[in-house]
Amino acid sequence: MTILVLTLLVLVAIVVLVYPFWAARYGSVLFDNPARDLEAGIRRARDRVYEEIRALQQEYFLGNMTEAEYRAQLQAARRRAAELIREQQQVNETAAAIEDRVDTELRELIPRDGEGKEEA
Amino acid sequence: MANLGTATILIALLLTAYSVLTSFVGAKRGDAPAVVSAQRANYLTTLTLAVSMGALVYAFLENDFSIRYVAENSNLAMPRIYTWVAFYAGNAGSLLYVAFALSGMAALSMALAPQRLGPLRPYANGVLMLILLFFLVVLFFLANPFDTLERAPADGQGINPLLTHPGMFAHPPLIMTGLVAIAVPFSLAVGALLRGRIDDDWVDAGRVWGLAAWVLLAIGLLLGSWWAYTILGWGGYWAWDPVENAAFMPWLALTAFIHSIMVQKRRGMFRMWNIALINISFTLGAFGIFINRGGPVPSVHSFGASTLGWVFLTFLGVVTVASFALFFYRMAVLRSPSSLESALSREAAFLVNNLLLLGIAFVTLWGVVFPLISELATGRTITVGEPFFNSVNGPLMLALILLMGIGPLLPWRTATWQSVRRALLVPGVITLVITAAAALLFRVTVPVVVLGIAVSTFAGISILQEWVRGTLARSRSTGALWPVAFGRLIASNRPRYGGYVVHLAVVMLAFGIVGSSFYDEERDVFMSVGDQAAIGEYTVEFMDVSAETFADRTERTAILSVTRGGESLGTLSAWQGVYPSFSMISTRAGIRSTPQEDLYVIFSELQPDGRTAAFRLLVNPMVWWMWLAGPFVILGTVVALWPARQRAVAYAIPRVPGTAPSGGAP
Repeated sequence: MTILVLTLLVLVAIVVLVYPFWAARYGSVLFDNPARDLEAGIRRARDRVYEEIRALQQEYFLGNMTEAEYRAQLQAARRRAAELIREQQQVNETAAAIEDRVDTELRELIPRDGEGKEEA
Repeated sequence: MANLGTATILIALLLTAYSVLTSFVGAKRGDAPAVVSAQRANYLTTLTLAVSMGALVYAFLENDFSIRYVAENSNLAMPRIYTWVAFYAGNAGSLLYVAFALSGMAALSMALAPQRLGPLRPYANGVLMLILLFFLVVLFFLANPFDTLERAPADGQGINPLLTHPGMFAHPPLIMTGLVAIAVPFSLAVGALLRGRIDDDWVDAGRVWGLAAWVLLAIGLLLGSWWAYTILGWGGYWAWDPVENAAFMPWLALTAFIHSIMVQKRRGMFRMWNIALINISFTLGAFGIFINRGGPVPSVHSFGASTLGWVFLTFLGVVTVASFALFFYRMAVLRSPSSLESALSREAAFLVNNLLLLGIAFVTLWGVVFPLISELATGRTITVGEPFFNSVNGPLMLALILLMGIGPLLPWRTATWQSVRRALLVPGVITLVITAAAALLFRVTVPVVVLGIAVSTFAGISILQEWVRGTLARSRSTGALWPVAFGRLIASNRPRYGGYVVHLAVVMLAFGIVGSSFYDEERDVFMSVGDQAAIGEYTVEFMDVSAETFADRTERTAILSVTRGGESLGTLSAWQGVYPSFSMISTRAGIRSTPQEDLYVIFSELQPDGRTAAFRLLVNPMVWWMWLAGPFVILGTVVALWPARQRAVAYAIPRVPGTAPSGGAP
């Protein structure tokens, strides 16, 4: 019984552990992607501002702050949200420009199919 | 079973070592198959350790006394129901349980990890598996619960009688699981440090697992207090015992963490502080395991004594040095993008709350390590008693409860004195009225008790005010009935209102502690059958005593009738068990519990005539509220952890009142 359970366990372990290498169909999702991280960071900061505005509303609603405090803080939060949207647009535009440039440079560096075949 | 158990521990050890290696190598190289394989090794370790656990349970059920651990912690007379308790009655079984609990937490945390953790996940997995590797090495080489005896005895030594209590089914596993669960948020924080990118990716998962560890420790501590109250026979529930403190300290640090992480989640602040806090929590957890499983100081939990102190001390040293070295190495990238805007804000209140909690934790730590320090310095062990802990921690706790009342009334970022005054006015006035009434009605004259009542009432009223105002406002604006409006209010911000439920539980605990600490009455009496004794407003009559003999013990039950002002309140049974093989008399108090007070009777001793007995009678005010706090702690945590529905918040952003429709963004 003991031998049977252990053999089964070891076999299952080997199959389960080796399979990812054998299949090798997992993308390189693990690599850091600075542009994506930056964009995600800005998105998170924006979400946080929105959440802050919601909390602000709730505090005002509960009577924990005066109207003047509410207006001042709401104005400041909206300003931060706008700033973050602008930053996000810049990042997206920069990323698109980089992609275009990569395409252009690759076109210059890699010969077209026809040209490659002729050289070969 | 012994071979299966040992072999599965070895397989788990190899799988864990493999997972550590492939996690870090895979993370460093960005090798996805290696990382996936490492994570699967994590899951397989849990499965393998489950087989190992099953093997030990089976050995207990089969009374396989060829296994040393089974022979030392059970016998033929032990009721089957206590098999689970016997499992962790000694060090080796406890360590197997700890390894399994840690492995289960590791597997669950990685399986449930949000996608956005991405490249952080393998680092966190590697750290978790490295911690597990330590326990498995200790288990396999130093404390194997499957070690066998050359000759199996006909019967085992039996389970420690103190452990045969319903609270023991959950108290030790909850505490052990809580202590190792801190490893999950710790691994996320250390993973972020190792990766070198410390943003807010880990915050949500860190908060959830921090709360999970917190509630496990909280309920474990409460159950431990209940166990001590009913079985240890001194009428108290907390003695600042080193093993109690060992779980209390990381719980305090975690309490600070689960508050502080909200500030990072909301405001992106306290990044450095949160990493430091979770490091402190885990270090205190490791210290707890050292005290609990290493047995370096005398404790009522002497059944946990062992010779493995040096192993856990080494672990504690390595964890402390490594985690803080990494913290200081990455300090430059730990700066938060925003800072504290005003001392009059919720963030500032959270910071003060953190400092108070850490203050209590470090006072407690000092009290725990003082016997060790005194022994090293003078060669004499000087223990620090209850008065030290009460006199230093008491005022800090009162300040903490006061802050618990003020903090939720402060808005984020900044507030004005005017708004704070307005928010505090109603709870302040109601508190004054209630405190004065309580002092007059119950003749409360001790200043610290008056202060305790005032502070606890204030915290409770603040919470109720928030609920009442929110419910009424919601009901007015939507036309919903009050219960519906209340439900919607809770659902609108679960972390906040779940937290309030837990705060309410803390208020109950505070009332229980204040009431029972200062106004308890105690009396030792000898009574023969038919005799009466009075305590407080109660009269207790010793009605009868019966005895029953079992293979390992003799059980005696004293029946007492209780009256108050001539009115019969029924009977109480006070129990004692005599265990010759342990040279121990275990008691189970007879308790009549009401919200106002407990009448508590301990059957201390039966005289040779079989008709005269010694009893300790106590009246403990308001202890009932402490046990009621437990369900509220669980309820509040569930509410706080309940996932919120995704909202399209962008559509709900209001414009500043009085501005043009296009206003807002400059």
